[in-house]
Amino acid sequence: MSGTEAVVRAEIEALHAFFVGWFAGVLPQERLETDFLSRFSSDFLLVPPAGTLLTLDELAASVRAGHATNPTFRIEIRNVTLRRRLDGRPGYL
Amino acid sequence: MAPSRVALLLALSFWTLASAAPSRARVVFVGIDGASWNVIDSMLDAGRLPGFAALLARGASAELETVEPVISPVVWTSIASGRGPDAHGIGGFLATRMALAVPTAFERLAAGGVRVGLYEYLVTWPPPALPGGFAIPGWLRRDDAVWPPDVWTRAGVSPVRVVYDAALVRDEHAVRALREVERKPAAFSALVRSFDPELAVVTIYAVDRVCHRFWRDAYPDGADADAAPPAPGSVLDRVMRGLDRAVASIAAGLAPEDVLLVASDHGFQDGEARNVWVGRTRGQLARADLEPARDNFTLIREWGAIVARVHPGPFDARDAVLTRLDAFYRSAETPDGDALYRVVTLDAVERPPDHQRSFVERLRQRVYRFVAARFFGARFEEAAHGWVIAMPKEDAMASVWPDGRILLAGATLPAREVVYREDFDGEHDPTAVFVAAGGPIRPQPVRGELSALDLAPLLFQLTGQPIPDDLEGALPETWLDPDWLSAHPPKRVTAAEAPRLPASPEVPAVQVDDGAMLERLRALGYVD
Ligand SMILES: [Zn+2]
Repeated sequence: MSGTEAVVRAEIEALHAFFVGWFAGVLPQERLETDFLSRFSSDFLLVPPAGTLLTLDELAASVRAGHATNPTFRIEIRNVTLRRRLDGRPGYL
Repeated sequence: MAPSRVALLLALSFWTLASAAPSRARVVFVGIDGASWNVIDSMLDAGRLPGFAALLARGASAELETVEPVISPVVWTSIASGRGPDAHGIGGFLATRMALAVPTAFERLAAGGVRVGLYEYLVTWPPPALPGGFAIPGWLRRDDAVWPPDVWTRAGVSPVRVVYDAALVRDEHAVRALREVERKPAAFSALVRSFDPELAVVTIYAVDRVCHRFWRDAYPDGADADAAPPAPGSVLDRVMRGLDRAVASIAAGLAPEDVLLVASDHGFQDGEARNVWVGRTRGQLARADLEPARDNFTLIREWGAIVARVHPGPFDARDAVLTRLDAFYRSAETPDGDALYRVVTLDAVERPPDHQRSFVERLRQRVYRFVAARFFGARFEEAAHGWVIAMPKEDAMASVWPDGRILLAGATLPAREVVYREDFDGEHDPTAVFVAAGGPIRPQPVRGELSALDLAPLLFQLTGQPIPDDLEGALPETWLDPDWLSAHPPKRVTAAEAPRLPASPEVPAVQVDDGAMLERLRALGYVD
């Protein structure tokens, strides 16, 4: 596994561990900031499969609303592979 | 105080006054690739485009009739030159400014003493040396050259530019489109502040980019774009609202005597779902020990057909590269041994007697050239040793997409490392958008009609320059305040007398003292 792949894997696992703890209600509310929001740049945008755009604020609101809503929530992570790496230059859109 | 000092102070204060006096009224032209009245009107009705609403309330608008074929490089060049595609010579997406058969209004105005700034207008690479102005070529550029070379430093901003040189997944297009409408206005206003152009032009590509890819998400279940606004929160809705803020912020930076023109090159409509295979082969060339800079070739595009241009140069060396590129793309196969591309090599130089192609091969090349020019506007007329074109084969591509494997240059790779499938739903519509406000523009409540060819005469008139007689459109006089028009009667000039930027036959309007640019073009084989 390459260095980048290890970093990506650790990031995916930590984020999804948060999701499980959050939606199951195991994690307290204040962990939203430390375990989730702090991972994103302030201008992060999410494009869900339905073709909508969510800003970080909107994403945060919907995750916040999901706290402790699914006590049996589980996520399994398998076969993390790095498929592509984009070497973008800042400002080049 | 000694009289000489008084004189000096007087002179100084006059000089200060003169330099602080407002410059000539500015014309700002905002090009929005793909902006469409059906989208705008329904969003206006829903109150979602306050910037456009304010502009329309004080200005005039038109359905803009475009030219055929309705593709961006062709239409933007007609708008810029005031000439139809037959005259301007730009037929498709391989075009550079060197293929322009006529001067653009931008170049003519600059030659006539108007300071012109061009920010990402299409088909402006290599960037023309516009005296006192700037030129930052749009996404069809072959490299990142700008005029003047220190344009970003002088404007005090870091570059904001649109690139289509990587196969991006759908989400990435959405995010980048929104970033473009968010960031471009500030970069544009910094450019305008530091160069103070009398004609400032900026083109935004975000709308075309998302209309092609997110149309059905904006209009789910066959919703009619004429009847309802795009779904709230959809990518198109977000980008249009970002665009509205962008237009409003550009408008806010203008004085009442300045003119704001907003135009698109075509509109949009629901289209038949289709897919385009985008190559990701640039990063794989090293597998065949191919390196563009060292081997003197350019991978011009990978969207749809892959096109590589081998630069002119010593026959044997260049021909070896041409052969290796041809072999590289021919090596792309499915695990079952089916070729993924139909590969065509085109010679662009006379071949020496011992390197002649067979009669059949020469015929094949001729047929391909004819078909490419006739149906795709691709003319392959640039200086080159030769071209390699690799056209994706739909069935073979579909058989490996998305999780299959591809054999390439002796390696077996996951398909996604070599290609990417873009899915398009929105499709160009021939009716484009035009809005004008400020200065001598007469507000008109009813939407009119104009031709894309009428914009060039308007640009000459608004900047106080004579209108050359080779333009195909007409000055829309009814759009202008009658008093202003009688104080500024249109002047005409023959095409032969119209000012032109200094040009050499191979490289129009790249000035001879522009050493860095000439060096670049020499390296790319465009000049000797
Ligand atoms: Zn388009």
